[in-house]
Amino acid sequence: MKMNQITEKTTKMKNLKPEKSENADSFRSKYAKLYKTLELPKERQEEWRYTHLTKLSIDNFDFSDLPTIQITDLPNSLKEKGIILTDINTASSQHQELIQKHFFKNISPDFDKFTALNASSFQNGFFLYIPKNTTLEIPINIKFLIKNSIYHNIIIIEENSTLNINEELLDNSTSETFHNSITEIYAKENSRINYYNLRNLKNSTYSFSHKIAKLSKDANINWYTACFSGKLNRLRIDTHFTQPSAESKNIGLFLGKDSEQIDITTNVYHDSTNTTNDIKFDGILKDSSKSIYRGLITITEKGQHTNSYLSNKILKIGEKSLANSIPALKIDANEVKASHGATIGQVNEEHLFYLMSRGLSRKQAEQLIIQGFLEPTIGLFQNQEFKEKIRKIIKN
Amino acid sequence: MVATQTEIFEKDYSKYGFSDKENYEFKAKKGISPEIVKQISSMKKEPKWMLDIRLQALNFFNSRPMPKWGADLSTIDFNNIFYYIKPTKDTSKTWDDVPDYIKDTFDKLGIPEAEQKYLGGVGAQYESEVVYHKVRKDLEKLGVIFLDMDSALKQYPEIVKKYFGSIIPTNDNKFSALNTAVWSGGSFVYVPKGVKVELPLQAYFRINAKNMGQFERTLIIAEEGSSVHYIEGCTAPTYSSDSLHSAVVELIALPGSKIRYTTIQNWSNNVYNLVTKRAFAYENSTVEWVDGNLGSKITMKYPAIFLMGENARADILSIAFAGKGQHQDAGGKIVHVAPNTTSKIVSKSISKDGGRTTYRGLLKVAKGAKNAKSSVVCDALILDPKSASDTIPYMEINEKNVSIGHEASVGKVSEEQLFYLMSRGLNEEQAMTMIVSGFVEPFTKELPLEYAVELNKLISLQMEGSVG
Repeated sequence: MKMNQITEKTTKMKNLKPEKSENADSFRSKYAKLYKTLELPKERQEEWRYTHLTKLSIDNFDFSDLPTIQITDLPNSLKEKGIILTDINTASSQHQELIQKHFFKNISPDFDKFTALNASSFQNGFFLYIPKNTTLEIPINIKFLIKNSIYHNIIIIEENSTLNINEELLDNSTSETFHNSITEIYAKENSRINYYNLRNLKNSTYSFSHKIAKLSKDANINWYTACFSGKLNRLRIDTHFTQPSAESKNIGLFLGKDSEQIDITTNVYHDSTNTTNDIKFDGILKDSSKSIYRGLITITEKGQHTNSYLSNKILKIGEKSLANSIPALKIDANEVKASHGATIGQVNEEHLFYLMSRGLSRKQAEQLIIQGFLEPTIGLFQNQEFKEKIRKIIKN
Repeated sequence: MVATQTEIFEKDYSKYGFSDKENYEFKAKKGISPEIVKQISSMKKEPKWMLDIRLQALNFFNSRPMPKWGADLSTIDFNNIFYYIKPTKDTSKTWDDVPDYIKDTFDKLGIPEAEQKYLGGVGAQYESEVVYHKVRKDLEKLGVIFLDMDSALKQYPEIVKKYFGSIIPTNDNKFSALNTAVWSGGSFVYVPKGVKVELPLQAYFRINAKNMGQFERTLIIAEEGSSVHYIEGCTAPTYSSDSLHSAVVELIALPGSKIRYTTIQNWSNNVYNLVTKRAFAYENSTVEWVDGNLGSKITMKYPAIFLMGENARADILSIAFAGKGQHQDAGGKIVHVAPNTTSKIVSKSISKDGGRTTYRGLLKVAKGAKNAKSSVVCDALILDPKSASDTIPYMEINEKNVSIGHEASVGKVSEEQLFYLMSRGLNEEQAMTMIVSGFVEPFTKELPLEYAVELNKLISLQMEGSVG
């Protein structure tokens, strides 16, 4: 089989350029007005509490230079199997039916100003379709070069198929930059997704990313996320369990320094029976960095026999750092197990002292403690390359 | 063991549900307006500064929107409420002077009996006014002041003026503004330096009239090194139309003092219970809120403690029980302002028959509150598929040297536990009651014995018929 000869090393990356699509244009004009009428979210709004957007003016950013995406160049053998990997605008012309069924179906464009912006102004994005009974043996790599950009991405994975995807934000920006993306994921019956996401931003970048996964029966998604830096590094991951026996894991870490702000939301909606969720998101705050972690577990009346767990641990190293943690439960069913735990703590002076008495400087000792704190989380990531990248970033 | 549990099932809940004929000294007309506020103030012969505070508060109340978060308050009709009802001419010092029909009420509730047995002082409020108030002679001699708030304003205007609204500003929220505009009754407690009040002081609040609004105002000041335990209980008869209870409670724990404030809230299920409670705890002092919410249609109440001085301690123990048609939106707030302060919140909630419990909490560590330690534990039991529970804790940590932990879990009664108890000869209802009683034990063991018994009774009443 030719398939076996394809390895990660033999696949190349290609540039996915933004295309023009008339289908998309009619959609855009519909929401351009809405975008103008909506205000930026205020701190009064629960989902934006502790997030200041007063200094942000989206209209001041120049979006004229269209963004490209680096993406795995699918070998023909995979294309022949019916796997589609293309840009969102091409897809809206060539795969109209799939787009109509899935584009903005996991989230409504009027959700907030950022979704309206995305609906009216998305420039590029990838569209990935995996047909039934397909095990992708190579991972799909996707690299977003951070510039002023708005992306809309769609992943559809059909029954009994498997996908490993590595998404990376590459940020070389030197001035204030705005990045917005929405990723809709449709995981059909008994499909498996491992989604690796590395968000290493410059401290002048605003990034608003929203990922929404809808899981069918027995589907399984594992999120692995690492967030570093950013003027505002906002990531929201929503996992919807809409059919029985679906499962999700969400393992993540973040590290903030200077006056950076990291803003993470991991929400799950258990709307069917026997679904399982496990979230573990840990973070470190250096200097005067700030974090907001929000994690809402919702179990509806239909969510009997749910098992759902969330844990959030934050280590504060910076004197002036600020940690906010809001884990919440909203539960309308009784045959469930749901719990969350959150801890916010400091570096143990005795540990520091011990390390320093062994000849390390305070900085080195702190560095060791940071690595020690994050290593158990890193250990849960199943991808060796991803692990190494993260360890390298933490060391620097 | 089994015998006492069974005995509990035989108690009659209707003991709180009776109502008296209205035979009042004065009943203001329905609705709220500057005229009503002036009328209340002039009937009470208040100083002008208090009237000014009331009128300003009324403006705040009118200009603030209804809170959009939390329980559904859209059904409150502020124009369909009596804001002031004066049942008797004066506050009595002996039960003999209290009109018979009111005395009967409190007899049925067991207040005079409890007073003789184990209380250091008693206040009994009926509608808007305190009808009975007495503190034990020995405590009086030590300088302990335990008065209804209206009498305190007359007798100790300087202390009241100094502390009134100092912990909860008039404009803190819509309902504290409403309380400040139309407050009447409530307790004033002042414990002098070094005095330890061994027996609890108790206030009992009773709503009798339909569409009644009760707005008591309580202020407790514990001077340096003193200690006091204050208990309040609340009941009302069931009517088809709604009543409103909106209290403001301010506690001041001066250095080295200790205040424990216990509430057994058992309003009937037509009462909106929207209460603001807050304490300032100074150096080395301890404030404890022990807050039991069993009754009411909707409760929104989050007792707060601001740790203002070094080594101050805060403890909040909250229990909520939501049955049919009830929403208990309760919890606690703790703000660490000073270094080396410690806090703990334990919340236990149970929902059944379509009831909803919400734990809503805030834990804030301000800059400079070094070595703050805090732990928050919330457990919820949901007993049937119709019922629901929410946990919404906020943590806002501005200081580096802290140790903060939060844990919450929601679950159902374990089948194995039920099976075990039933194999020991209990029926399902008894077994369920025993498990629920065990679940809330951290709360009941903090109560004086008589209250613990009472609470267990209430739980078993709520549990009756719970298992089909």
